[in-house]
Amino acid sequence: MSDFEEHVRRWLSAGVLDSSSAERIRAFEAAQERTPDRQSRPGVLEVLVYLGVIVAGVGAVFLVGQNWDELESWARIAAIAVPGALALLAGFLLVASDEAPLQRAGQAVWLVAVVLIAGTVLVVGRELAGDDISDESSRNLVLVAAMLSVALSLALWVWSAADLQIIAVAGSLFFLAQAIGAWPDDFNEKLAGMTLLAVGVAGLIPAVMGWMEPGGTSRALFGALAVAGPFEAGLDGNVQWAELLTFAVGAALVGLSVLRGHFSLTVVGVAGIFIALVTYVFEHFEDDIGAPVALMVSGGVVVAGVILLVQLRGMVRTRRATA
Amino acid sequence: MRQRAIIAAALCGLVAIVAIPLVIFQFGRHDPSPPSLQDEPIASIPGEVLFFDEDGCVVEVAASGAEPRILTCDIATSPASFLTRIDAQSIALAQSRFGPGGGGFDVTVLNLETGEETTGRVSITDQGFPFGMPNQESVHGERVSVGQDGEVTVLAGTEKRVIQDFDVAEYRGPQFLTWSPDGEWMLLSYYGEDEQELWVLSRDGETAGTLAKGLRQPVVSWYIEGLGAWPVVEIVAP
Repeated sequence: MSDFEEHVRRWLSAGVLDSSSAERIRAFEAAQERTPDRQSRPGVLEVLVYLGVIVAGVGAVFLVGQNWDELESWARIAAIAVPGALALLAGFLLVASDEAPLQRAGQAVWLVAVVLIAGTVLVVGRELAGDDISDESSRNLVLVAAMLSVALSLALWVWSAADLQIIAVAGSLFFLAQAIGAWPDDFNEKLAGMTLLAVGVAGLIPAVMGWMEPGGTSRALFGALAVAGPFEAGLDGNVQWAELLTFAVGAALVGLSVLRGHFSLTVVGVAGIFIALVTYVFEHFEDDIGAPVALMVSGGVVVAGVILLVQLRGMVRTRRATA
Repeated sequence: MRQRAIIAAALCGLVAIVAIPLVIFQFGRHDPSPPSLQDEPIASIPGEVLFFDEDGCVVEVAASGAEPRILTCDIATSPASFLTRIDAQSIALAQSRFGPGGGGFDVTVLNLETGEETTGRVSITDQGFPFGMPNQESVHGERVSVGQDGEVTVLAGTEKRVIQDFDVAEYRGPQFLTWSPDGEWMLLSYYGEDEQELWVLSRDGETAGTLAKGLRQPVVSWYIEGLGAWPVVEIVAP
């Protein structure tokens, strides 16, 4: 029995609802069950199916991993390339379906396909180069794989603008920033971090302007990339400007969220500032004030962050209601 | 979909703007190897150096930087624990062996003129180089320390001076192999992108050159007529 049916019966027996109104409510709720909005949420059984597929997939990965050394080159390539190609093809068939659960399955399969195809590039390159592959060639290979995964995830997002596709795009861009940071002889945190900031801001602009779908996920993920960029650039503790830039980007995200009424940016901005501040306190003041005081300061920052978040949520709601 | 395609193209363009100059200008990548001595020989570097090439052949090259010359590829004991020139005509190479009777070496002495090989198990006495540990102290009483970041320091008693700072990637500093017999030069091995290289560095750090590339292992011997071979290895019959 649906939740509303219990209420309808209670109201009918109490005499506060007449039978014709009750029938109209039932007809309305039945129609709602069939709307695309209701279908857009996965049911418990669908989630269980995904869980089963993930568990089976992890088992398959472990099985291949355990026997990797015994496999011939062609078998290694096939072990990753064939599932990648099949996942890509299956994704097209599923996304083209009229059924929302099948479309969601297709989007999930595409997410997996991006990972497998990036892995295929790495495996093919490694097998072609042989065991004596140089460190330099390995880093070139990772960059090629990252660029390909960005291009593929963007193409799939253009085809189907779903949450999972925007997650694939953001994940690929993060991978690419790390590949670019790893490209020089020594891993360059500043290069990786500034690349993250650039791609984060580049994605955030259309997301905030409402040109990018789905808007909420896009704003949250590109906002996270933008604030993670300067944070990574300042990770070695000697890049003061990058640490300060993290606070500036976090504050900019919070300001933008109030201005545009996007609460997800508030959460990302405040979380970014919080993490950056705790890191900053421990990096620069732990020796002077000691770990206990540093922890107390960090705790105070958490409380202040929550209070700020509550205040900003009210402002965002007001702004949204006014709009 | 058109709007999404434009956004995707813009993001791809941004990625290209970042990645392409990186690759074209080789940002952050460089070859720390000093100039090739084969291309620019330095006549003042004396003697000859022996090493194993990638195929396991014993190769001799003038330390001043001439074309390497393969002495022999027919080696029973490979990989070797040491390689040394006994005199102008013969070389010796050995593989360490541990057995019930204690440690020792299977040594092959090869006469380069006749091709005659003498093999056997012999005891070895030396000045600290029986098991792959090079003799760190030169004839001038100087020792060498090479940092993981490529900084080469010479220590003489309590005096310490940095003579060279090779611009290598972190944790990829060269490895000290041996002093020259006259104590004026040193040999370093560096693992480059694809192969192991042999570098020569003067005692004051002002002159450096790449003597050879494609070493099989960091086992070398520097011979100067009249001064003998370094690292010092004295082979004594059991």
